[in-house]
Amino acid sequence: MKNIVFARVDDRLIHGEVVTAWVPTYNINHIVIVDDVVASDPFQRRVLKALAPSKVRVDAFTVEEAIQDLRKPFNEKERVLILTKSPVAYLKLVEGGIELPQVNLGGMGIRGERKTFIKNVACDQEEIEAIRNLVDKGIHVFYQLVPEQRLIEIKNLL
Amino acid sequence: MAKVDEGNLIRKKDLFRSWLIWENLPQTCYNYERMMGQAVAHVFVPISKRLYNDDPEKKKEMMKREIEFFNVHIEFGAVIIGMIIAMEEQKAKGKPIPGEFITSLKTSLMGPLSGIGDTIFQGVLIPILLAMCIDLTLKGTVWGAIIYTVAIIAIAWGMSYGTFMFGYRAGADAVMDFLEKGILNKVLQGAEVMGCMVMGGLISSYVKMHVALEIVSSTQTFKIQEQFLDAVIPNILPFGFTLLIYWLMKRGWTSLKVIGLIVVVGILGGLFGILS
Amino acid sequence: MTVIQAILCGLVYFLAIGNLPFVGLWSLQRPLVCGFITGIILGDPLTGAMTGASINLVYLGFISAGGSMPADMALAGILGTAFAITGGLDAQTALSVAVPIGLLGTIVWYGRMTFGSIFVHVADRYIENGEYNKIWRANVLYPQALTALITVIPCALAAYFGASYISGFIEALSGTALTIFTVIGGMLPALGVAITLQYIFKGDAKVFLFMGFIIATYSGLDLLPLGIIAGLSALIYMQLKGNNNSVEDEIYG
Repeated sequence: MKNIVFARVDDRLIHGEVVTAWVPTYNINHIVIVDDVVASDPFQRRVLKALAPSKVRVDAFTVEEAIQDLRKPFNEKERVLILTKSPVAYLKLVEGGIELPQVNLGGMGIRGERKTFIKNVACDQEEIEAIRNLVDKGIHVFYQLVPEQRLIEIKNLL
Repeated sequence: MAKVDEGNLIRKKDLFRSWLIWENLPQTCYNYERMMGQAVAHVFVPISKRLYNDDPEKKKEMMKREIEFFNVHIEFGAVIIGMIIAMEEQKAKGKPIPGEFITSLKTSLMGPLSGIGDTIFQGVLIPILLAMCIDLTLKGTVWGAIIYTVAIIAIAWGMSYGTFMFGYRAGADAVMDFLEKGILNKVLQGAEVMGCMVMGGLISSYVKMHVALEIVSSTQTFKIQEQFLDAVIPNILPFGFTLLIYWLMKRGWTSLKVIGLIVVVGILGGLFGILS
Repeated sequence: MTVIQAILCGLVYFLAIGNLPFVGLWSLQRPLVCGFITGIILGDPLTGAMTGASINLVYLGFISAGGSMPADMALAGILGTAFAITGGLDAQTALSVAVPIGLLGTIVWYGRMTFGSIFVHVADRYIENGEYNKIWRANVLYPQALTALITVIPCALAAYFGASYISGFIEALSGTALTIFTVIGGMLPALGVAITLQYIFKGDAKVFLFMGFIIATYSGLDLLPLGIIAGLSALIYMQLKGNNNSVEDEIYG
């Protein structure tokens, strides 16, 4: 399995905080976006490739494609950051056999059924269940906006 | 490419008013829930009057779309605002553009533009400008502060207005073509080179560490700072210390931890007369 | 420090982080600038600017992205400078005082990020009722009024009461303690540079750090001429570089 260094949930996928804080902190050189909608929208894929941070490769995959790609052999020189818009995607990855080092909740806006969970993270029932599932599987789930800031354990909040 | 005043609904002064609102009031109500959403709605108030004055239903529909979640680097992201104003105008004139498309344009661009915007603007441009103006100020003049203020505001407004109008006139495809040329990344690379050099100079002048230790024997006094460290390279201690901190932070140390380290070193160094 | 001066300091803090206008974040929020303005308020613009400049060194590489605010450099700049002027502190000691202040102040920012949501719903209601002309109240008037309250008052109080305690505090410090403060203040700018390097110290740019350091150390050039040389070096580098090899080669090659 590929060298997954960090796994984050963030509505806005690649943006300011991710590029200036998380990518340098973990020396990321490959960002894998796992989102069925983004992966099937040519315009969004075009934007992601055009505005990829320097020295970082960006790919947008559906959940299925991501499971295939992440299963490829471990390469020490490749350091992968996974971005999704919802913890549900991570549950699917884990169920597809992918091991995650942790799951960081970064930002989830209020949309549809979502209710505020903590600060700028809002979740609906399905997402809370997914988080619970991930925690039960022993994965460290936490909220942290940028590495400088305080980390809040999610399992205490469930 | 659409010319501004030819058969268009939006006049130049509406555009200018919208830009003024965008550049000056985007974060007056900054909040976790919608970030800048309400500011975008505010930006569209003059536009809505022009596009849908006699159609309250469509007006409301547009405004509800504009107040959605939005967060972007202000000066770089102005291009998005310009683009969606142009799109809403096209839509008002009858072109079949679905509202979801306009929303998805916002959401797909705001992230990546902030990524490169924050890096270039806050990560490189401001530190370089600040370093030079701080140096000027510390030579004994208030002009450093004044020059910095004027320069950064001029750059911010210039960039913001430029990208705003570019977004309005050029439209999504032309903007993407420009972004794909990778010009921004090239600028960033050059700026990184310049920034590193300026930082090197900054360390030399403003990180101060002086070893007060002396080794005293019966015949002579050996001053570690002057006779050893300075003989190798002056300011080598601050340089090494800065690189040490850089390396620690790369390994995950937060600013708080580093400050703690500096305090400890300072206390021990000062207490035992090692540093002064 | 008079009451009026303290209130003016509070006002500077409000304008620096209230985002009114937005460019305040790029300009007034920086200790170089708010230190200068505080200096004007307290009658010593030059000390204000110079102290602000020193304090700003720690916050050189400061990035606020996605609504985060890692430190409150405006408060550090304003209060650090105010105490330096009223208490007669030297630049390095002022730095040691300012940095802890900068860590505390972020509470204000997070507060306004949280309660700002209230006004968003007010704006939603205006749109629902077609009262578009009132939107500016929800975006500007109400949130700014509340922000003014939580910025001006605490800062003015801190400036007024802090000023009287600081001089007493510094006088109580004798030689060694003062030396320690000075030493710490001398090292703190290394943090600012190190943070900036997190974003720019990569790839080919690395060697230029050493070059800039050596040139500055041996030539004594000011940063402005050094900056020009740096800019020209960057241009030469870009011209010589040609097209970059892709990141794919680095990972998979």
